[in-house]
Order: sequence, then structure tokens, then C-alpha cells
Amino acid sequence: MTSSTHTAVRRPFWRDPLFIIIAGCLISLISFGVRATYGLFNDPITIAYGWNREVFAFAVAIQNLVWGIGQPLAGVVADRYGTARVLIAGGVLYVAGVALTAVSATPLAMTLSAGVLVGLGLSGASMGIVITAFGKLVSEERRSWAMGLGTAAGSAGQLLFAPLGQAFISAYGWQTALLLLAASAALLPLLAGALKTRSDGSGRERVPEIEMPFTHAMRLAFGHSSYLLLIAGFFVCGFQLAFITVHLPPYLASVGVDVSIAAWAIAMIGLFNIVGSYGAGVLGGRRSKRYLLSWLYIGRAAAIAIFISIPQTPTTVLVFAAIMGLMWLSTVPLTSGLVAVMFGTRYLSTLFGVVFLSHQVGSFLGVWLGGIMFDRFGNYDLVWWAAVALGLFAAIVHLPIVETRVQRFVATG
Amino acid sequence: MAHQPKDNGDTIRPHRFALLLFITILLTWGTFMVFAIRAANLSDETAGTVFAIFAPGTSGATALSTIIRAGGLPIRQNLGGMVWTAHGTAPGFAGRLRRQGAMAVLDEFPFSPQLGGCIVYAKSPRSPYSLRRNLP
Repeated sequence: MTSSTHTAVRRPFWRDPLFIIIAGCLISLISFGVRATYGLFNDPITIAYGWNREVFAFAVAIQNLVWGIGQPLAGVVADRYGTARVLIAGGVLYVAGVALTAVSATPLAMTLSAGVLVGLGLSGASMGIVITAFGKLVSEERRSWAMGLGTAAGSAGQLLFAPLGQAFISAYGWQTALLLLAASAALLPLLAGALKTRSDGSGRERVPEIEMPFTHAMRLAFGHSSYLLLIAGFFVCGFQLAFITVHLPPYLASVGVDVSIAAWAIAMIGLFNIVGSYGAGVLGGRRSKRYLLSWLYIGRAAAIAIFISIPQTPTTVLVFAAIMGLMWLSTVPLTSGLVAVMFGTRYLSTLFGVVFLSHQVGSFLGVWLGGIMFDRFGNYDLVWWAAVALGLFAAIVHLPIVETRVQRFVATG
Repeated sequence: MAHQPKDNGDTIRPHRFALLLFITILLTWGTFMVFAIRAANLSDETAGTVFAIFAPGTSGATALSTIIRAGGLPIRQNLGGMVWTAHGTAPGFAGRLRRQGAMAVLDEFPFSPQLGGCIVYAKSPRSPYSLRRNLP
């Protein structure tokens, strides 16, 4: 053995996992952050163009729809052509969408910019792609932690960008504020290069994965009961979060809790969400992900059941918000981590994209049913209890999940 | 045989790294916020409903007396007392507030936090459930 055999090969810093994680976290932070400011522009834009509220609301609804449908498609492209390419394309579309929102003076233009372009941008350049890139580029020992950190960064983006967006609007006007946000989103394609995967031609995947045709892999995945159970469980996550996000403030108002407490409750959720997401990632690397998910859904069901069964006071509202915050996006690193455990990372972006689509369907139903039930019965009781029942359902469906690599996805050699 | 490429990712202390990352993010955010809030400072002659921002640690009594000395009416306390919504009809209200001790006086926009799950539902300033609802 010569001395040269002991020479460690040092990677350039941009290929170091640390840089990859920093870049991914920033992408997650910025993309979720800019998105979280969009509601702030409803009034300025509506007033500026003399539209009714429906125009901008429709554009944002289209944005969510395009994002949900686009996520698995972006996953397919990421698995085929590389994560970095998808992040760059998504980032460019995102920047274009946000910038064009500032000059979209007709409802159609607004729908295309704030709706379609931003939705496509989110599909390609947000947390969903970032955490699957982490799955491919970070060692198995650090994977769950990195996924938790990426999720926590997205949560932080939601919390930090909203007041920044408000301050931008106040200081510079809504059009300049949008351009400033577009400028911050311009960092997305620049950071994307750090998340190059093998399909980008980098050959940097940490774990060898089995090669099999895409359609064959999808057929195997959709024929695997554990994957279907995971999809069903994540649907519940979307239902609960979207219902609480949209309907908690009016619910509190309807039971006589001061509206400022609702605002604080939302802040508590956002703050504890960062802690919960990170903690779930850390725990997911040490404990069984399916059991953790099961406990999380039991915890959510219990928290909701207790909350709606006792008189609401500012204290109970804030305690409920803190507990829900801890369990808010903490399902994300565990769910994406389970997909990686079962099927490896070769088609992780696609398979997690499909799971995410189920989440978005649940979100849609949570918001929609909340509105329908309130209109029909004058209260949210039925939907709250549905959220409890679904939480228990999700806790149960995670138990039989087999948390090992599916045999056909085991790489040989 | 050559060693595997050295990876800091495998040797890093993860919690320390996460903490440093979030502190850096917070500091960067804080810098942008300071610039944005300074730019949003209202001109001296502005009157109406405004946000008066006080130094951290300012007591409620001090903030209240500052607003009243500036010829305004306190409407609401936000963010644990650091930010007050105040209303003054006489021209020059914003300037007087600053001279009496407010760090910054901003156009009133809701400090309501925004939240998205995996879908966005940030509320607009005049949504039915924004903080404005309590205004007279």
C-alpha cells in the first residue's frame, strides 16, 4: 500500500452534503415563503384593477390545483432527467409567474401568471422535490434528519416571508413588492445546481439503486399494499391541516374567542411547526417511521377531540395550536422517508409526488367540506369529528405498513 | 485503493448545524425586515390609523402615554406590546409619535401571521378574519 492510497479525495464545497443541505433548505424556505405571501396581494390587486375578489381567489385556487397535479409530473421528470434540471425549470417558471403577477392587468393574465406559472413553479421548485433530492444525495444515516430540516426550512419560510411581504407592500407598493419577491425567488435556479443527481449526469447518489423501467416500477409500487396505505394516510394529513388552517379562525369567532387569539394561534402553529418538522426528521432516523406516523395521527385526533370537547378560552386555543403545530408538517419527513425505505431513491420523486397529490386532494376536501357543513348546519362540529375519525383511521392504516425495502427494489451487487 | 470522498455531511453535528442555519436565516431575515420597515416609515405629517413600533421591552404604560402625548388614541396592542395600533386625526401625528419615542410609525397593515399547510391560505388584509375586524 503506498502513501497515495491513504489520500482522501476531497470534494469541492458545492458537492459537499452540507452545501447540498443548505441549498435545499434555502430553496424550500424561499419557495414556501414567497407562496405564503400571495394572500396579502388580494386586496391591493383587486382594488387596483377594480375586480371582485373572485378573480384573484380563482388564480390562487388554480395555483394550488396546478401545484398538486404538477408535483407527481415534476417527480417523473426529476427521476428521468435529474432533480437540478427540474428545480431550475421550476425556479424560472416561479420567478416568471411572480414577476408577471405584478403586471397582469386582466383576469386571464392573472390566472396564467399567479395561477398556472406559479403553480408549475411550485411543482418543480419546492419542498417536494428538495426532500426527495435529499433522499438521493444524503447518506441513509442522515437522510431523515435532512428531510426534517428541509421541511422545517419550508415551515420557517411561511412564517418569515409573510411579515416581510407585508412590509414590502407597505414600503414600496404591491407591484414593487411582487418584483422584490420575484428577485428572491430568482435564487431558486441558482441554488438548484447543488442538488444535481445522477440523472443530471453527476453520479452522486449515495446508495446504489436497482435499475428497472419506470412503468414496471410504478406497477410494482401501486401493487404494494404498504404504498397504498401510505397514500391513504397522507390524504388525512391534508384534510386535517387544510381544514384547520382555513376554518380555525372563523370557528373561534363563532364560539366567541377574540379574533386576535386566532391570529396568535396561527402564529403558534407556524412556530411549533418548525420544531415539530425538525424533531420528526431526527426521530425518523432513530425510530420506526410508521409507528411515529401512527402516534402523530393519534395525537392529532386526541388533540382535536379534547379541544372541541372543552370550553374554548385563549389558553386552550393557544395550547391546542402549539400541540397541532408540533404535529403539523412533521408527517412530511416521515412519509417521504418511508417511500425511500420501501422503494429506494430511484423513483422517489415520482412516488412521493403521487403521495403528495393524495394530500392535496385531502386538503381540497377539508376546506370544501368545512364550508359546506358550516353553511348547512351553522357549525363545524361534524367536520371536527370527521377530522378525529380520519386521524384514527390514519393511525390504524400506518400500522400494517412494512417498513423494509420491497424485495423487487433491492439492488443486487 | 483511494478513500471515499470526504463528506462533512457524515461527520457534522446535526443539531448544531441546524441551529446555525436557522440563526443565519433569522439574521438575514431581520436585516431585510429592518430595511423594509425603515422604508415603510410614514412621513411626519401623516395622520389616521397607524402602527407605532416601540423598542423591545417598552412597557404598556409607556407606550400608552406616548400615544396619548402624541395626540392619538390607542386601539390595540400587537406582538406582545412592541407594536401598537393607534389613531390620530390631527396632521403630524406620525411625526409626533416618533418624537415622543416610537421607533417607527407604519401604515396600518395587519400583523396577523400567515400560515400555509401544504396549500396556501394566507389571508388578505381585509379578510373577514383579519385583525381589522375589531376596528371601529
